Amino acid sequence: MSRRRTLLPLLVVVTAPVALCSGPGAEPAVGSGAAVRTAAAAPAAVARATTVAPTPAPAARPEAGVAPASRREMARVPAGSYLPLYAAGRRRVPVAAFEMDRYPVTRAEYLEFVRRHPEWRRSRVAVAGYLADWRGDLDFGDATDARRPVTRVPRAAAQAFCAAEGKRLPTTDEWEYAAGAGVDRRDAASDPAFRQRLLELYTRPRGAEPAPIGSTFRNAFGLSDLHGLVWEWVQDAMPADHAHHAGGAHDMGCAGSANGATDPDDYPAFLRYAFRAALTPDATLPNLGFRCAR
Amino acid sequence: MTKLAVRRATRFGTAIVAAAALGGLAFTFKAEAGSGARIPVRTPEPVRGVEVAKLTDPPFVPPPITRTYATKVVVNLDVVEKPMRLADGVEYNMWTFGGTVPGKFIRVREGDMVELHLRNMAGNSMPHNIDLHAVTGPGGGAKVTMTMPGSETVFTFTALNPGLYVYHCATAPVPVHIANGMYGLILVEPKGGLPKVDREYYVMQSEFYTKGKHGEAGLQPFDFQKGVDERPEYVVFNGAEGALLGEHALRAKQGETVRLYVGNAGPNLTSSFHLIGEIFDNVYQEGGTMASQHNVQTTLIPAGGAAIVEFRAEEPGDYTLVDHSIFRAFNKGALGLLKVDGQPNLAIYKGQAGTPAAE
Ligand SMILES: [Cu+2]
Repeated sequence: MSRRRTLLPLLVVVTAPVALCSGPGAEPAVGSGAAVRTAAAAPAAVARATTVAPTPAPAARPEAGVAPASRREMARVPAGSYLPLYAAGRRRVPVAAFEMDRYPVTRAEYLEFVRRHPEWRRSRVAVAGYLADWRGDLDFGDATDARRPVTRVPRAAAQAFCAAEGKRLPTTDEWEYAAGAGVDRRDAASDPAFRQRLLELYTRPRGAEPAPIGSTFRNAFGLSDLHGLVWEWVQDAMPADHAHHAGGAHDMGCAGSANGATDPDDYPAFLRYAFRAALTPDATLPNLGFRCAR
Repeated sequence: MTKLAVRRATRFGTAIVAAAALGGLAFTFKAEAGSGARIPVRTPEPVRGVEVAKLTDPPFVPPPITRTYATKVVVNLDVVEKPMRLADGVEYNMWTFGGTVPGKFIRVREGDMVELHLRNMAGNSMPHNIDLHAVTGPGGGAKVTMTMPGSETVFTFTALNPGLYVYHCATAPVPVHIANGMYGLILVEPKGGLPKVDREYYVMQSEFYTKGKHGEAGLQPFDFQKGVDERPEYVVFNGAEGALLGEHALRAKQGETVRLYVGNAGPNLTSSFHLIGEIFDNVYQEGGTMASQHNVQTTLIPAGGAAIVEFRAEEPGDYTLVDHSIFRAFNKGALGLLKVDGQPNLAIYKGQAGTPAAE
C-alpha cells in the first residue's frame, strides 16, 4: 500500500486544499498527507473545476475517426433545483436539464473503451492502482464481472471515457440533484426515511468487489445505483461543492463541519461530501466508479 | 527569565517562576493577574532515538514506560471496517482503529514526539482521520490525517501534556464515525511515570444506536433518529455486550493493586462509573495526572473523557463494573466483571446463614 505522498505525480491538481478545522490554513505537519503534487506529462488535461458551466474534458484522441454513439441508456433529468449541504442563505441552487447514464459504467463497457483508445490501457497509464484488479490490458477477469461497475479509474480516465461518448462527467450540482430523488418522488432529499435508507446503504459492509449494476434501486428520474453501489466521480471536487457557501472552503474533518450546513441532519450528504473532500484526482479506489452526463 | 518576570511573580505571590530544566523540559509557571492560575509554558525537550510503540487490544495495556528521556515514538494505527459481534446474535459493521472496539491502547511518555501513521485499509468504504485529545494543535490531528481507503497519512505531534486521553475519528459526520466504533485511549505518562500497581486494564464505555431494538438479531445498521434523540439500544464496555464477562472477565489476586484506565466514547452519554463491591481508593478525575479524590464510590466520566481509578482488591469474589445509571447496566449491556481470586477475609466481609425470623 502506498502512501499518498508517494503516489505518482501525474495530474495537475486543480482543486485547492480544503481548510480543515478551525485555525491557520493547511500547513502540512511533518510528513502529513498534504503532500504537494507537481505537474507532469498528463495523458489528458483535467477539466477545470466548475459548477455552473461545465466544460467537457478534452477527449483523449479517439482512434481514427471512430466516435461510437453510446449504446448505453440515459435518462433525462428535467431542470429543477436542490439545496446543497452548504449554501449561503440556504438558497436552492438551480440545475438546468441534463441527461445522465442510467447506470454506472461497467467493466465490459470500459473494456470497449480501452479497445478503441489504447492510450487508456492499463499498461500505458502511469497512475498507481489503475485497473489493478484487471488481469491484463484487455481482460477485466471473469465474465461474471462484466456487469460490475468499473472502478480503480482516476478522474482523467473517467473524463476521457465520457468524452469519447460525446459526454462528460456530471457536476456535483447535477449529481446531488439527481441523487435527491427517491423511488417515488423527485425530491426526497429531506425525507427522514429516505435518508435512513441511504445511511444504511452507505455504511453496510463492503464486499470485495461492487455488486453488478442494477442491484440497488431505481429512482424517480429513472437512474439506478446512485447510492450504495460505488461512489462516483464528479467533474468538480470539494472546493466547488463549497462554492455555494459564503464562508468558503469547509472542513469535513471535524465536528465543525456542521457549522454552516443547510441541514445538519443530512448525514448521507455529510458522508458524500466528506468522501469527495478527501478525493484527489488520481484516486483509483475499488469502490469509486462513474457515470456520464450531457 | 527577566527581572520583571520575577518581580511580577513576587508581587502576585501566587506564582513560582521556575525555569527548572526538569528532564530537559522547561516549566515556567506564570501568574495571571487576578486569577492565581498557574499555566506552565512547555517547550519540547530534546528527543533521543526512535521506537515503535507496542499497542494493545482492550482490555490490556502496554507496560509502563521506564525511559527517562523523550524519544520519537512511531505509532502504527490501521483503520479497519468490519462486521463484529455487538451482542449474542447481533452484529454491527464496526469502523475501528486497529480492528477492535475500542481501538488500540497507545502509551507514550510526556515529551515524546509521536509519529502517527494512520493507514486506512484498502477494503474500507470511507475516508477516516484521527483527533487525539492528547494533541496540542488544530483538530487534534484531524486537520492533517484525512485518509482515503488504501492510503496512509503521517502526522507528528509532541505530547506536551501528560494524562489519559480519548482519541476518535473526526470525519464528517463525526457522530456516525464515533457511533460506529472509532475511538480509543492514549495515555501520556508523566515524567517519572505513575505509581506502580500490580494490574492495569483498559475499559471504555460507549453506546450503539441500532435500528433494531436491543437484542434483535442480525446485522444492525446505525439508526440516525435514535442517535439524535440520544436513545441508544446498547450501552457497553469494550465494544460488545459481555466483552468483560465470563472468560473475558478482568482478573486480579487478593491483595493486588489494580488500576483501570476508563474512557467514555459517548457519543452522547455521561457515565456514572461504579464497581459494585469496591471503593476507588484513588481517582484521577477526568483523566488528569493528580489523584484528585480518594474513597470514591462512583465517578463521572464525560463523553469524550476518561478517568483513572485505583483500588486494592482486598476481598476475593466477583465485582461488577456498571454504569450506575442502572437501566443501562440492566437492560442495555453496561456490565463487566472483575474476578478476584483468594481466600475470604472474614474480618472484612462475612455473611451469616439465614435463620428463621421470630414470629
Ligand atoms: Cu472514521
